[in-house]
Amino acid sequence: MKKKGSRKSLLVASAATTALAVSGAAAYAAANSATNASPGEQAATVAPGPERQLRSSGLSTSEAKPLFTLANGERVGLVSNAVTKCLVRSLGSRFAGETCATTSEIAEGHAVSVGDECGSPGKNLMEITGLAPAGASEVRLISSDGTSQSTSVTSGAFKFDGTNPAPDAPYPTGVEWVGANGTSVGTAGLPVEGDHFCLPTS
Amino acid sequence: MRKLLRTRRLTVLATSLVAAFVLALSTAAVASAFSEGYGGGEICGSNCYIQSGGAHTFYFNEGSARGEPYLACQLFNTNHANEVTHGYGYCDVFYYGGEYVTARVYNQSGTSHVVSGYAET
Repeated sequence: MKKKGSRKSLLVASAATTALAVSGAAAYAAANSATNASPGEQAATVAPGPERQLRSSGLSTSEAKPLFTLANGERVGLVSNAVTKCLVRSLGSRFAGETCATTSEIAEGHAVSVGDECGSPGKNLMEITGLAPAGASEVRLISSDGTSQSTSVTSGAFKFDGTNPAPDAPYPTGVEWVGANGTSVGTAGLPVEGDHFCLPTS
Repeated sequence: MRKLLRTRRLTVLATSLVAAFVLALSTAAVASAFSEGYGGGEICGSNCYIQSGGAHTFYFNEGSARGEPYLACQLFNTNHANEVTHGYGYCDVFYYGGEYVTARVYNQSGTSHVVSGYAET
């Protein structure tokens, strides 16, 4: 009887160990795939719609820490977890956009977005916002004519307020990350093809 | 006793009316919402685009693709609305003007990618 009881305990213990090992491996695989997935692939894990990147990362707009306000009136906040950082834009009480990236995507300069107000009654504003890699304290926005303008990095994020480039005028092409000692720590392009910031309405 | 019963009946009636009103409001909100998924095929990378089937009072449009191609999301009409946002592998754009607008997602990466779009009112 005693022997039967100890055999039963052994079976339970081994089943528990197996379950733990399997769940651990699954959690590791999930974390790993989340790290390696591109923004589009990561977003595809949840239903489409506003705050999709946040939802796919288990983050919420309500947890965002306010960072700065853009010239177009949008407020930008930051929310993050161990894997993903997100810039969240809001206009009044309305959600107005998100830019989410992992540490490696931020290091590659793939956490930059460009918003263009191209409608005729608007102010033609262009907002460039993004997340800077570790070690960058300043960001230079490089223009096609070689000129540049700089902004400081706040809690890992930056913004450039400007206007959409006029036809045949110089236009921003990329950013350069600058360290505390003033030296370059890397560069990245903008996610825009040439000077196609505003797009046709026909 | 009769008075108490009458008061209870009135309370039940009032509660039912309020519940019916709230239900009608929420049903109307659900009925007025419209969403559309579009694209999903491979498009070229030289400013090729996918587009919604028609214009609606879209306030939100998003685009996504595998990899991290340059994508541009647009909500526009021929009147004066034209909002554009560019991103890597994912983009979203908002238009709160309340007008009928068409939703588009451009592939600006230079190479072909499978691109999907989704817009909602």
